[in-house]
This record gives sequence, C-alpha cells and structure tokens, in this order.
Amino acid sequence: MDAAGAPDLRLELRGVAKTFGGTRVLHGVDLDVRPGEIHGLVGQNGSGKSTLIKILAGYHQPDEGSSARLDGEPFQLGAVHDAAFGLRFVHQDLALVLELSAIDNVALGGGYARRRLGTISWTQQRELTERALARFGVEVDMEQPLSRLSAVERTAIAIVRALAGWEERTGVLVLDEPTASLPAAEVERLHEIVRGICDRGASVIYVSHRLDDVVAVADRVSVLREGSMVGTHPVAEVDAARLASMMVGRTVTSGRRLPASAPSHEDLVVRARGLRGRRLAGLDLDVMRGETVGIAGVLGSGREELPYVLAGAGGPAVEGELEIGGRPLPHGSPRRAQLLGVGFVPADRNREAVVGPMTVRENLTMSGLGGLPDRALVRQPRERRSVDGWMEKVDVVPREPERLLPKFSGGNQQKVILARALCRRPALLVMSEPTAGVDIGAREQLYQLIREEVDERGLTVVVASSDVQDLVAVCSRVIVLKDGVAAAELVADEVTEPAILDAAEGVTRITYPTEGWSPT
Amino acid sequence: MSVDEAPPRTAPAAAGAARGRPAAGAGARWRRALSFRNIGALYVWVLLIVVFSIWAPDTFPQWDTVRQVLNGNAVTALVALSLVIPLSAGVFDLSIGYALGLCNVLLAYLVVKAGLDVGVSLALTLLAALAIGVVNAVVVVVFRIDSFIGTLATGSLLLAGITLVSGNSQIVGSELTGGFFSDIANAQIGGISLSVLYMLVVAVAIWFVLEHTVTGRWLYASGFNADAARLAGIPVRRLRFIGLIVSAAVAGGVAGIAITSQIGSGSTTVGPPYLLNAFAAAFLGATQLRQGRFNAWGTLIAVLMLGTGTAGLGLAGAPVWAPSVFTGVVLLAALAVTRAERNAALG
Repeated sequence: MDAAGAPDLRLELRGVAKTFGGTRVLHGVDLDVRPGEIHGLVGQNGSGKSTLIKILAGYHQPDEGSSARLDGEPFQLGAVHDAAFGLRFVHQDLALVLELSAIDNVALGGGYARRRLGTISWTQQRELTERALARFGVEVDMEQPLSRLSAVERTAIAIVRALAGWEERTGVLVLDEPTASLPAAEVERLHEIVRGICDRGASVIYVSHRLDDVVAVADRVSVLREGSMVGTHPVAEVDAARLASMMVGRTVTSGRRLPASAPSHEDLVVRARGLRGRRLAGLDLDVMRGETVGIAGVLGSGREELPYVLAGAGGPAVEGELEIGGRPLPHGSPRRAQLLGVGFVPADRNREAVVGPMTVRENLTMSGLGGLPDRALVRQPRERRSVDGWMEKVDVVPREPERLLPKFSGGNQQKVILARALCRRPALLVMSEPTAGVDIGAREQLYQLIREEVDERGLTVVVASSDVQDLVAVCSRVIVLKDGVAAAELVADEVTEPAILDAAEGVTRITYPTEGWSPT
Repeated sequence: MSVDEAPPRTAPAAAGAARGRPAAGAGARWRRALSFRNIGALYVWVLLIVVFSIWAPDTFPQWDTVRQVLNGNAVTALVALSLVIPLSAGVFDLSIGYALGLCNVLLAYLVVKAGLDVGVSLALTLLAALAIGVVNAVVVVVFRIDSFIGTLATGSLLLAGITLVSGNSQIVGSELTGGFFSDIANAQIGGISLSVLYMLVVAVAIWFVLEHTVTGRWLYASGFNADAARLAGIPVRRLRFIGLIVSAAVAGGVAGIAITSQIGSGSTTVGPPYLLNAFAAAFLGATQLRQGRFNAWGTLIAVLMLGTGTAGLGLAGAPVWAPSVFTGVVLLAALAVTRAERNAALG
C-alpha cells in the first residue's frame, strides 16, 4: 500500500446488517475508522458488537446490502482474508498455547525460520521474535511457557503475533475485549503498547465493555445498542457515565450501597489465622455475620487466592487455621466448605463454573437444591419449579431452562452461577471477579440480588475483585491485600473507588509481579 | 493470523435469537425424539435388517437370528455397559478386557482345579473383580495417574495374572459344562438366555442411576468439567473411585461369570478382544438418545446394531474380514455425523 496517498478513512463500513434465524441483530451499522486512530467500540452484551467483529473477521456472512472499504478499496465482508490483507485480529481468548514459549507462539502465527533441511533454526527464530517484541516495546522472558507470564504479557504476545509482517502506516488492528481478563493494574501497560502501535500509523478498533478503559485509551468511541449505532464521539466530549447511558438508553447511577448497619450478631462466620499459600503469607481475617467484605489488591497480592481458600479450594500449598461458622474447614475440600454453608462463585466462568454441555436447569441445581438431600432421587417436577423460581428471581433471559448454558450471554451465565451458589441457602457467599465479562445492565442486577440476600436473610459476603466498582457497589468493608497480608482496611464511608485504588496502589509499587511466590 | 483461531466465546446473537423461538410443543418434542440426530443408530439398525432380509432371505429373517444376535452379544453388551459409568465421570478403564479374562480363568480354576463349591467360587470371583476395581481406583484417583495410562498398566498386570492362574493353558472340566454352572448364563426362557436378562438388569440399573439420581447428574458434571464440578461441591474423586469399581465389577464380575458359564471353560484369550468392541459401542451409544452423554440404552442399541450387522454379514456369506470393516466404518460415520451436527449447532 502506498502511504503517500493516505485516504481520509482507513476503514469504512456501510449498512452492515445481520439476521440470525429471523432475528435481526445488526440494523445497518455504519462505522468510520480514521488512519492512526484508536477507535473504541462499546456496547452491552447482545448489542451486536461481537457480531460486527465476527463479520469483519469473516466468521459470519452479513446480510445483503452491507458494504465495506479499506483505504477506499471495496472488499468483501464475511470472507476470511489472509495475513497480507490489512485487517488483523486479537480475539478475547487470545488463542495462545499456554504450555509453549513466546518464541513458539509467535512462530505459530507467522511460521518458523527454517534451515535448508527443513529443521527449525532456533537462533534465527529467537532473533526474529526478539525483534518483533522489541518493535512494540514488549519485554518478556521468551523461553518461559506463557502460563508463567502475566496476563498483560500474554496479551502483548498475542498482539505481536497478530501484527507479524505488518507494514507501518497501514492496516487495522481489531482488539476484542483485550482487558476482559486483565487485572486493573496491568491495563495501563496494555494502553501504552496500543498507543505505540497507533503512533506507527495503524488504526485500532478497541472493543471493550469497560468504559473507563475505553475513555482512557481511545481517540473516538462508537456506541452500539441493540444492533444499532447510537453514535460516534471524540473521547474528549464524553465520559464513562455518558457512555453508560448511551449504551443502556437510560441514565445509570452506580448503585452505591449505604454503609451497612452494625453487624447483627457478634458471632464470626469466617475466622482465619495465619493463612499461607502460593501468595498468602500469614493472613488473619474475621468476618461477622451479615457483613459484606471486599478484598482488593494488585495481581499477586493474594487477592486471587483468598476466595479459593475460603471456599476450600486452595491448592496443596495452603496452610493455616480456618473456621467457617465456628467449625474448622480443612484445606482442599470444596465439598466440605459447601456443607459448612459456603456458596462459591469462581473467577473463571468458562473453566471453573459453567459445565458446558449441560442445560441451565442442570447447571443451576448442580450443587443441590436447598433442603434436598444430596443423594436423593431427582424429583423432576420439584426441580423444575425450583429452577423456574430462580430463573425468575435472577432474571435469566430467555427463560429457557432446557437450553444449554453456554448459549447464553456472559451476564446470564453469571446469574445462573450465582443462583447455583445461592440456592443452597448458604450462610457465606464467596465470589471472585463476580462481574468479569458481564455487561452493565446485568451487573447492576447482580449487585441488587446480592444486596437483597444480605438485607433479607443476613447473608455474609466476601467478594474479591480487580474491578473496584464491584467492591464499592456491594461492600461495607474493604480489605486491601499486599504481599499476602492485609495492608489497609476501609470501612463504611471510606469505601469509595478512589480510596480503594489509592490504598491498593499506595501500598505497593510492584505493579507486575510475574513470579511472586510468597515468602515462607 | 492463524486460521485455526477460535472465534470469541460469547454469542451475542444467541439470546436475541432464542427470544423469538416458541416453547417446544408436544409435536416438536416427538419430532426431536424421532430425529436421525437422536436415534440414528436405530434407523441404521432397521435399514440393516431390511438389507440383510433381501440379501439373505432364507437365513436372515428368522427367529434364530434374533436369538443369535441377543444371546451372542449379551456379554459384549455387559462389558460395554460397564464403561458407561466411569466414562460419564471422565475416566477411562482400559483394563476391562483383562479383568474379564482374569475372572474367567479364576472362576474356572476355582471350580475345576481347586475343586471349590460353585457358590463359593462365584463369590470369590466377584470379590476378585471388586479388588481389581479398587486397585484401578487407587491408581487413578489416589495416586492421580492419568486413567488412560493407569488402567493400561493395571491391564498389563491382569494379563500376567491370567497367565499365572491358567498356567497358560485352557482350563476345562465337566464341572463347567453342565448342570447349574452352565445354566447360569445359558438357561433359556422362550429361547432367550439368562445372560440377556443380566444385560437388561444392568442397563436398567445404570439408566436409573444416571437419569433419576443426583449421583447421575454429578457423574455427568464430573466428566464434562471436573474443575467446575469440584468447585460446585461435587465429590468428583469419590465418584471416579466408584466408577472404576463399577466397571471392574460389571466387566469382571458379571460379564466374567456369564462368559465362563457360556463357553464352559477358562481361556487365556477370551477377555482382551472385548475391549475394543465395548469402547466402540459405548462411544457410539453416547451419540444416541442423550446427545453426547454416555448412556445405557444408547449403548445397548449400539451393541445390538453392530451385532446384527456382524451376524447378517456372516449369514450372507460375506468374507471374514467384513464384520471388522463394518464395525470400524459405522463407528467413524457415527462420530463424524455427530461432530458435523455439533459444529452446525454451534456455528
């Protein structure tokens, strides 16, 4: 491509429409992407943004009448283009092989450097990878399997791989939810990398449901709602609140919970002394009945590990005293934890919560229905009634208990997983990253549900999250972890987003620990 | 960009598309239940019966053929059924063929060489089968050795046991060929042997556990996503432990006793060949009725369909290698069709 005749628009979409089985999910969407800009694309789950991206990537055929131009040249939508074409994609799950190194993963995209006999030239390959990574300011240990690297480093490697053979001042890089599984502390580093790419003249379409994320990095932002383009605005003219109301079509108030009244009982639901594990380094924790406690902290602070330990799912390295409702919980038995009254919502919905080939009904009643003996026969009318009730209560849409759970949106899946944890009527609800990959509307509903359970039947909640909004919306007390121990505590009015961020950032300057094993 | 890159996981269109779909009525339910996708093997079975009735009109469409298929496949069915529970829970048991073989020579040895009472011998054989199951379970669940490798290794040990017990030769004796011992599997009710009854009893038991108990739901969940199941409070390891005991007890105990009674001897070569057919039937069965779930009736249909094909080919005078080709082709076709449909459904 000739950079001298730079056209006004890098990418031009006109009237892109898509119908699935009679349901229109995209209503003639227009999108203009300028050369060298970061173009944010936001919308709730089901707004059509993933469908639009999949059409660009060639996974879906658009309806008749959709058209597209790249640098003024028309091209066919819904066809898979080869690497030489100007569109590059990094999908949400990154499609990396975690067991292999950065060198291998980059080579899997662009091919290995070969010797004459066809064997791989590792020296040459290492140099190639090093140059590719250095080009975008990415510094990682190239020999380590990716599973040992941090989330942002993995994302960076996926981006580098997508850009293999890329020429400066051309092309569009599409990043689909690049921060979905990124801890808040690592987002800024990703932004730097993305800005670096745009400085070299690429355009970036940045798809995200984290509005602050988009506002922080994008030049302009387009909002999709229910399959239609609501509008495109320079980021200077909008803020996260304005974007949120454009996305849902009404004004959104972040449901700030009033400080809970004093705990109703003096008895402790959680009593932990000297918890140690992969990250935890002698943590003490007391949680009163009816309390809602948030766990904050940067990656590697023990914030990810603690909820698993409380749910009896800590690894073999975990030790220390732990009592739930006054009874000791041995480490390594989620079942025992459940019998002691712990309901658990794990962090990684796809891997750790959703049982793929099973229906909503089966997933919801998996932990057993309240009051039903575990080894009982499944009484189907009773099960159905109970499932219908819960689907209504947590508002799973559509109300089809016999549909496979993975066919629902992330927000709906999370509602089912929450219902699974709540339907045993637990005394303690433990959650990790409760709103990861959940859109704003469903998010508010999840918060509301948890608050109801707390108010109505004195549920105790411990929620660990890298998303400060979760903690502010639900918690009356927030504990900030650093290096595996509690470093700060915020109570009642102190629980605000800036205060938590300050505490988390202020107590540590180590932002990207990759091998932070706890001292023993 | 690599071509095999997976599309993003969330399907935003799914929710919207589903809203427009009316709730399935009785008619739709029947259409679904009778669809090729659901019971393809039944249709293939009917087709086979028609084809062989035309191909071999004098020998195939006979009451004798029905008896031959049922009586001749009861043990295969028992071995295949033994796999349903462990496979549902996500563990393989590759030792079942050897467990069957060991129980066969052990029972023959106890009755003929040791001269024990038949009742005592049967009890000891059942105990041996349970012991095999416990060893498998300890290897896989307690020592956390991958079930594929672990049961392959214990299978090798069982093979050594077969040679040891039998002295590497066939065990024959009049005690095994007549009277009560022969009746255990061969006594007939209206031309159908008792082993068919055992097959049905085991199938009903497995069906009941998987479909109507919480344990059954848990077994499937453990097999589909063990991490999620464990975090949801399901005792995954205990279920797998029990699953491996069930497979050894059914394949070694029930099928082992039935085959010994059927053939009236202890043979060093009787067990291992069942392994492949049993797995074929269990996997083919999982494509039937319950869409991707190992289940009892699907497995039975698969065994009998494959058995009908084999019997028909024999009666029609096809070459001796034909049945193996038939089994292989049917299995590949079933799995390919299932795969294509799953892709279409998710696409």
